[in-house]
Amino acid sequence: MPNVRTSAKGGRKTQTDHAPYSCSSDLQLVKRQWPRVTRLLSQEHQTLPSLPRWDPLHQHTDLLSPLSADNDEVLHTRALAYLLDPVRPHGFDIDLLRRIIRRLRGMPNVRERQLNGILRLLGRTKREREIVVIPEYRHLVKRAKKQTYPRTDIWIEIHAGRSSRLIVIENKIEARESDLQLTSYEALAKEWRKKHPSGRPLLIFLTPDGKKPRSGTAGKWVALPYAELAGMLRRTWVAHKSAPGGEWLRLYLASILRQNSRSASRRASQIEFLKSYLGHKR
Amino acid sequence: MTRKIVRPALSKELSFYLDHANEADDLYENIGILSKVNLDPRFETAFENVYEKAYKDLRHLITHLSNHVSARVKRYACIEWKHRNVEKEWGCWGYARSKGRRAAHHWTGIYLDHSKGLARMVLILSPSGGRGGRRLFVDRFRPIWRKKRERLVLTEDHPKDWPEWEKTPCIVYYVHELHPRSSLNETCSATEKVVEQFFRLAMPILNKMN
Repeated sequence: MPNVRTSAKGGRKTQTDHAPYSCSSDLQLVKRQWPRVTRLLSQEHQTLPSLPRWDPLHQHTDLLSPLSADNDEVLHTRALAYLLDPVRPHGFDIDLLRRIIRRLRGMPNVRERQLNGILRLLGRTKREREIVVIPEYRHLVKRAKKQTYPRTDIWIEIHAGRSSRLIVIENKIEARESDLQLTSYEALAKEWRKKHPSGRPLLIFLTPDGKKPRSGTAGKWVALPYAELAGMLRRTWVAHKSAPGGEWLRLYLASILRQNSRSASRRASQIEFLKSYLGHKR
Repeated sequence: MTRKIVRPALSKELSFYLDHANEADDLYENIGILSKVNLDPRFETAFENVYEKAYKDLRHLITHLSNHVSARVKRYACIEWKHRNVEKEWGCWGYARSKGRRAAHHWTGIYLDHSKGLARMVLILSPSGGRGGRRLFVDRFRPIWRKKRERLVLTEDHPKDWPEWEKTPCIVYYVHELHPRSSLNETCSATEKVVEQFFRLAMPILNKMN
């Protein structure tokens, strides 16, 4: 109900009206139906399998938060490069790399042939020498006026016999990519392809919510959310719990899960996250 | 008789969203599940309208408040706001500095908090110099601020009260509670007044620290 006040100056009457901002018909409708929707959402939660107590999602300790580095992009990049590199002494071999490639099947901007080519090559490689994983790879690009040094987050080369494949992962946690950043990486991949007989390079854009890149050529980058990556890391960990790097992976996975929890990103769906984590999505 | 239209700080849609944020986010991302239940056919559109309106109002509240605050304190400090992730973070942050090219940048922010079932605007500052800088500033500024206003809170000393600031520790210098009938203008003028007072007193100390 509007309040009527008499203002001190000149005794003019002022009517305070909240009416234009009162409850809209949409909101009334939503409020009426909301109890049924909440019941439906809780039923949906119940359809997801319950996670065992040992799952990293329930862990209280993790790798990066004690260092105040949960969102440190460079640390995440280096950690991922470590896990993807079969030469490193974690004991996972190429398991994680293979899982990522398989998981990309059916995603937008991914060609089946491209993935099959990489998987075939992974089967043929002699791991120590033929898979090169370089984090924060600094390239030298000579231009007419000046030199630039674009830095790709993770640069993975796979060689087997005469064939080669290239995977580039761009990791973005908080910042967005700069205007021509992805375009310059595409150019680097193209240059590399000229030197090595290979299929189409696989370009992955890794972000917490799996958003599409705003720069780069349309249809070239595959948007991968961290929840999906967490799901693949989980499965790798379950398969190699007793490997030398098993405990390290568990702690790192707990860091990713913590970073992706609702506290870190408010506008996020818990159901969606769990579905991706458990591999139920798509 | 003049008719004064009052814009509330929290619109009805935003209040509804704040009360049911978790469920609303889940539903917005999984809108397809509505086909499993027999609801009013207009519900989906109505829900999307309410959800989008809530976020639009949230953005308006934060940007309106931050722009007014920076205009009010410009005599004492320049605040350069970043409004990039307002919807995601329910707030905005910026760099506050005194005039001059070599002045140190202090991190400041305005956030909407609803963790304790009550909506409130939280105003924070994190002086340059990391943990040491924060402690030094609190030690020097606390006696001055106590006379004027409430206490300063160093979030790292009260992790249970401020769990959301665990990752980015800072100093909470003002909390403004929002009620369903709080108007945007009243909220804005009350906040501006405190922020002006804060920066008037704090900038000399911050300048001396660097």
